[in-house]
Amino acid sequence: MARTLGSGHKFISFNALINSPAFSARATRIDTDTIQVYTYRGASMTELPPPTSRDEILARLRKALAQGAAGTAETVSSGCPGLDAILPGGGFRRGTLVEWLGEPGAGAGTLALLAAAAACGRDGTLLVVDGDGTHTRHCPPSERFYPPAAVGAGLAAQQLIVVRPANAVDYTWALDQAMRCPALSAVLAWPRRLSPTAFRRLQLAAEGSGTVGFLVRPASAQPTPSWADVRLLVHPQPQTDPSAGRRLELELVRCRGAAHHQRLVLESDHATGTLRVVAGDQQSPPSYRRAR
Amino acid sequence: MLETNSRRRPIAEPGDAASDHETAQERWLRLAEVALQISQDFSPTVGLEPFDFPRSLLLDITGLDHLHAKAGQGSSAAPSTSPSLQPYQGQTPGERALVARLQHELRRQGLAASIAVADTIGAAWAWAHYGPELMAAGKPLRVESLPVAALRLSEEPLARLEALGIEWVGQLMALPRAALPSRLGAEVPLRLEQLEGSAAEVIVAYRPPALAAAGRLLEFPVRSPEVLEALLAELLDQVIAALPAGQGIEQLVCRLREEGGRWLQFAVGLYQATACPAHLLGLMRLRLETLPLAEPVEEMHLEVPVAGELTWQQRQLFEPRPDIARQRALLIDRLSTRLGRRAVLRARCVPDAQPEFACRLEPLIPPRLRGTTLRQRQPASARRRMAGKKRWPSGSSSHEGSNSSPSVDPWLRPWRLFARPAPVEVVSVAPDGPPQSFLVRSRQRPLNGNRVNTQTRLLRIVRHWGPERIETAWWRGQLVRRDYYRVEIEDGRWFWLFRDLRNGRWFWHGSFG
Repeated sequence: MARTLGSGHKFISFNALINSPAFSARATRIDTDTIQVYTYRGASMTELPPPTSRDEILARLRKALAQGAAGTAETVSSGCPGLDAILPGGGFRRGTLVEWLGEPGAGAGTLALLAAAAACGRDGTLLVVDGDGTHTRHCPPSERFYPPAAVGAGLAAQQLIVVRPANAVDYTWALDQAMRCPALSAVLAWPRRLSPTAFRRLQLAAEGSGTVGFLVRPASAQPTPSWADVRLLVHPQPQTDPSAGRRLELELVRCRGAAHHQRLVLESDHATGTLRVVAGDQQSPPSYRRAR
Repeated sequence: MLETNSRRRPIAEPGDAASDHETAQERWLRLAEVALQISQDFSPTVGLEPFDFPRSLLLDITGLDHLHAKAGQGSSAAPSTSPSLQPYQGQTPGERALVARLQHELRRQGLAASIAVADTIGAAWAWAHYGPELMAAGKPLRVESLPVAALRLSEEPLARLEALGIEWVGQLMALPRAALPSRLGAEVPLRLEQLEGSAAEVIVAYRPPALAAAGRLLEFPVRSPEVLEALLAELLDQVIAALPAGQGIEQLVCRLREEGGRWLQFAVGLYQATACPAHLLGLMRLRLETLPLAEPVEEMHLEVPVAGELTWQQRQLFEPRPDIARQRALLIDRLSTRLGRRAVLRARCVPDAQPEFACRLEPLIPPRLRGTTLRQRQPASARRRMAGKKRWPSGSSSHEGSNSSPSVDPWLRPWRLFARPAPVEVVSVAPDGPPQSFLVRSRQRPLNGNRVNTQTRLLRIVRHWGPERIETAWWRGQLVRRDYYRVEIEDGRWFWLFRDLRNGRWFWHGSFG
């Protein structure tokens, strides 16, 4: 039983912690001033037999590294089961940024909406920052967000908040404030220009609050440095059959804890719009791979 | 000088037995309540008579009679319980209708009132108080027949007039005006002139006091923002302490007076009622930064015109994401304060076929209610009902994504629409047929400020879905007839085009994803 510390510290009971399902399901590290607890999946450290060979030591170290890299945050589905299969943890981690790269009309925005709908579930709130951050009061943006698309993706209209900042300074401020708020499930924006400093600040803000930030950017932004956890490049593939749905090729350009440049081809069902995997070099969640 | 078509109308509550038991304070409060209710329905300027214990209300109904004229024409339109009106209760049909409605409204609230309409305040007051007496006595209804007490004189001039044997206003008017001040004091000729209309008199409109207010006059003018913030924090603490228990602030108005005498004012509206000084101070700081202060500030006032119920939530000890609703409200407050109330919006899908109007974006924070107190605000449900009544009637049948049955297809509607549809040139095989290719002139607005370069590209269409015919909006003026096509071009991208059926021109409305 931990002793009660002064104000600002947590009062922790060992029994309650160990019996909770959250504690045993994944690696958890609880750090207070006087208590440090480490537990691995299902087994405590004292139960493992000592490693016999060098390979086994390396395997255990890699396993610990991958699980440590997975972090303690929960994951949300990406809205597409095929994509969930190749992402570590089965989806996007809360508190990270996800970047969708694609030309206008390529499908990146709608995929981001599907992922945002999955992140919000039934009760969450999605905040959309309208505009591309380069317009002014006298030169308003020519394209505006269209909420019925979000309704079609599975969100309810009450779950949406749309923010329309008037100029670039307000845009950056509003995006920053939205990322800092722990009450939002997801934030969607399509900044045309994002400096590395601003990007890093957004990533830190998302990490602190636990929201998932979806940024939709043009494909020309691929060479620029990014602080997003996951970067997805969307290539649409033309088809000739009108009864077939939309075919998109997703390339996992960068993902922390997974192999880079994995490709996935998704096709949308013409009737319902759900995405299914047609082809792709899927690999199992690479817990034993070295993250680059 | 008063205009000839202006009217003043006092309402006097006769002192019946029940109301004699009320103290003057209670009567004043009741009169103030009545004044507020009347000011919403009948006249924008309603004032209490400027006495220590007012018993009458003064309304300015200049130019308002035409609003009631049609409603009141004919005895069938007037309420059945209203008696026939006296000659001094309005000369035009509109005025008489207004008086009848006002009497009906006051009787509905249990008040008996004597109403008179005249060109000046003095005349209206006189007729309202002494008109019924004259009617009962059967005397001619002229200003000269009114007793001198109708001139709103104090006791001393009245006593002198009685001693002199002057009983009627007519007798007083016959005397030479220049001799009156020396004999009877200055009040008598002033009241006479006010009755006739040659002396100006104004109605001071009654405004309800704010729910909680605090003010401070500074000894030395202050210019630095940090000191202003500290002073505002003190005033905020006073205002919060003055609020009734369980009430929080929903709107806050701050007024600052500069050294030159100019008043500056800003208001902060909140999504949820709050009594948290730190949050309110943060919002006021956001506003103070953009306030154009030319000179140092000498005086500051804080007022709370609208308050609301505070919602209390029991906090749990180990909440994973504490207080989500509260944090959401704080974020909305902060965004609305800095970006403006109309920049933070919520979506409401309406069953309108025209895509631009299929979704209404409304501000999350309601507009500032002027001059209302806590009792008079409508409940939120009534406000929502009133907002919902402004919806357009539902258009033709082709609408998807409405709030009744949300469709699950994300590829039905584009996620971004052009604010104004962009005209494109389309090549199609048949004049009414689907498009085969379209010409796009893209004007890239470069980030480094160089000259805009225009590119022209011909995009060949590989697949198309449509047409989706939308014919609607005849009630908005011009009928909108469009054939929408969802097209896939040769590199796989999807766009939304439509042909305007009125002139056959093609437009590009949005892109999918």
